[in-house]
Amino acid sequence: MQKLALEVKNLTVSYGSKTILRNVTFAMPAGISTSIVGPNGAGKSTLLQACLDMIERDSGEVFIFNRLFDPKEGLLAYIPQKEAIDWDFPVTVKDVVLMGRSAGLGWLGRPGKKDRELAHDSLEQVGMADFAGRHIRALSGGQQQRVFIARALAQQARVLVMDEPFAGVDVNTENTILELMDQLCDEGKTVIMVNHDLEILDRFDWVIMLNGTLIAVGPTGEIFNERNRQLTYGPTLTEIARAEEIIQKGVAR
Amino acid sequence: MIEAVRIVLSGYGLELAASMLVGMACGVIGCFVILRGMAMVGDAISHAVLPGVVVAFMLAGTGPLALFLGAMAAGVLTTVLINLIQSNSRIKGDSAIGLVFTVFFAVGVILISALPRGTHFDLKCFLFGNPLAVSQPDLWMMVIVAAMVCGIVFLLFHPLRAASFDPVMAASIGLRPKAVHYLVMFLLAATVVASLQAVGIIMVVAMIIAPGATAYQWTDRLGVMLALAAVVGLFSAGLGFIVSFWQNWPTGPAMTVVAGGLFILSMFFSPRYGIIASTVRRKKNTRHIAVEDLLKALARLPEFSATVDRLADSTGLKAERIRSLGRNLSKKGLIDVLERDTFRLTARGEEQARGMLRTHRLWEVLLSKAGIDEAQIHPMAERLEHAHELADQIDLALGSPELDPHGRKIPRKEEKEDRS
Repeated sequence: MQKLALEVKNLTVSYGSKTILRNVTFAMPAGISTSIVGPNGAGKSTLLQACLDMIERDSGEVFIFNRLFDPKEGLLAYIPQKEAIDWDFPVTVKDVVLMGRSAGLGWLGRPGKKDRELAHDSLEQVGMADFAGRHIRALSGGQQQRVFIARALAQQARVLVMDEPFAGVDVNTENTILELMDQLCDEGKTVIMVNHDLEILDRFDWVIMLNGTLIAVGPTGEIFNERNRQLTYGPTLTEIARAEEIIQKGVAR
Repeated sequence: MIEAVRIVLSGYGLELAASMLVGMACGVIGCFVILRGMAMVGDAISHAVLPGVVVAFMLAGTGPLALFLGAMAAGVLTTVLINLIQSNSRIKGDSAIGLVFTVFFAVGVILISALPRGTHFDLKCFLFGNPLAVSQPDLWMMVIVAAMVCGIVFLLFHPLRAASFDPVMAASIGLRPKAVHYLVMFLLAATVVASLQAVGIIMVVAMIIAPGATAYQWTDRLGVMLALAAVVGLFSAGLGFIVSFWQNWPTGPAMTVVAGGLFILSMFFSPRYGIIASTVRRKKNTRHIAVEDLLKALARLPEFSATVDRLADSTGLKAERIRSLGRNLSKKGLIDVLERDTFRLTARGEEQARGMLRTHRLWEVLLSKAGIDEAQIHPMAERLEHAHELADQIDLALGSPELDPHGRKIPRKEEKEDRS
C-alpha cells in the first residue's frame, strides 16, 4: 500500500451557523506539490486551518502518514502569509528557525545543542546559513520565504502547508518559492499551498478544487478541466451559501 | 543626593527593593505588551482594578492577599467583559476597552465614597503611587509577585516568543495561542496589581511600556530586549525612588519620569534606531553616493576630466556641492583641480573609479541572476558595491562575465577600461 502523506476524512467546519466546508474527504501521496484553488470564501484557508487543528471542526479527522494528526509531533509545518508576520519583531533568522524545534519541546522544554545544530543544518539546506544573525527585516522577499521553509525543515515536518505564499511578493520571489517547492518534493516532502494564480497550476503535481465542498482532487493534468472549473468557479455551489445566508437572516415572516 | 541615598538605604531598604523589583517585572512583561499590541489592555486593567481593591478592603480590610485577589478578580472580569462586548456586538476592541475600564473606575470611586465614615482608604496612594505608604506585608506581596512574573517569563521564554511571533504556527505545533494570550493577560494583571501602590493606577502603564520601548531601540533580539527592559525598569524605579527623596518629589511620578526620560534619550541616541544615528547614517550615505557618482561620472568621460557644470548635469548634484566634494577629493589625492572649476581624475582616482564600476556591474550581474526584481538591481548594487573585497569572489563565481545586465562592459582588474 502506498504511504499517504495526508488524509482528510469527512471534514466539516462551520463558523457559527454558517457551514464553510462540507464533508471534505481526500488523500494524497508523499512527495507531491499541491495547489488549493477556489473562489473567495470557498474555504481554502479554512481547510488548512482545520487540518492544523487551529479551528474547531464539526466533524472529520486528519491523518498524517496514516497516524491521527497530533500537533505535538510537528509533522505538519505551517508557513505563514507575508502579511501575517510582524517584520519588526525582535528575532533574527536563527531565532525564527529555532522556533521550529519548539515542536518537540512543549511548554517547558528549552532548545539544546542538538536543536541549534538542526536549525543550522536547515538554514544551510536553503542556502541561508550566512544570514543566521540577521534581523528578519534585513532580508529580501525570497530570503524571508527561505527562512520560514528552513523553520519547517528544522521542525522535521513531512508535510508543509503554505498559506498564500504568493500574496504580496514579486515575480522573482514567486519563482524562488516554486523552485524551493520542487526541491522539497524531490526530497520526499509534501507541499500544499493556497494559490490564486491559475496560470501557474502546471507547476503543481496535484490540485485541490474547492468551493464550500470538495469539487475535485488529483493530478493537475487530469483534474483541472473545463467541467471542474465550472463547478468550482461557477455559481452552482455559492447558491447553497446564499440560501444559508437567507435562512440565517430568518425566512419565517 | 548622596545624603538621599544614605537615608533610603538606612531606612527604606525594603521599599526600595520592592519598587525596583516591580520596575523589573514591569519592564519584562512590557516587552510582550508592546510586541503583542496590548498597551490599551494594560491601561484598562490598571484602572479597572480599583473597584476590586475597594471591595476587597470592605470585606477583608487591609492585607496583601485580599488586595491581590480583589484586584485580580476585577482585572479578569474586565478582560472577560471586553471580550464579551467585542464578540457579541459590532463594537470594536479599542472602544470596548475604553468603555469598560472607565465605567469600572467610576464604580470604584463611588464605592470609596460609600465606605463607612472614619475608615482610612488612601485613594491617593492608588492613584499616584507611594511606596513609602505601603504596609510591610504589601511590600512582600509586591516582591513575590514581581519575582513570579519574571520567573514565569524566563521559564516559558521559547513558547512565549514563538506564539507572539507567529501564533498560527505555534498552534500547529501544539502551543495554544489562546493559552498564551491568557497567560500574558494574567502576568500583566499581576504586574499591574503589584505596581499599583508603587506607581499608581494612572502611571503604571508608562512603567510597563517605557522600559520595553527603550530596550526595543537597542536590539533585534527578544532575549536581549527582555534583559535590557528588566534593567531599565529596575534602574528607573531605583533612581526615581532616590531622586524623590533628594528633590522631595512624589515617588511614583519620579520613577515614571525617569523611565520616560530614558526612553527619550534612547530614541535620540540608540546606535541602531536612534534619530541621531540614522540621520548621520543617511547624511554619510548620501555623501558617499555623491562621491562615487562624481568619480564614476569622471571615469566615463574622455580625458577623465570635466567642468563642474558638466558634472552637475551628469550626476544631478548641485554645483556648490560638487565644488565642496571636489575640494575634499583633491585633498585625498583622487582628483586634481585644474584651472577654474575643472576636475580631473588622478591615476589613483582613476583606479578607484574603475574598481567601483567593476564591483557595481558585477553585483548587477549577480543580482539579476539571483532573480532580483529589475527595478531593484541598481539601488541594491549601489548599496552592495561598497563591499569591494567581494568583487573578486563574485567575478570568479560568475565566470568573469563580460557585460552587465544593461550591456555595459565590466572593467577587468588589470587592463584599462575601454572608454569608447
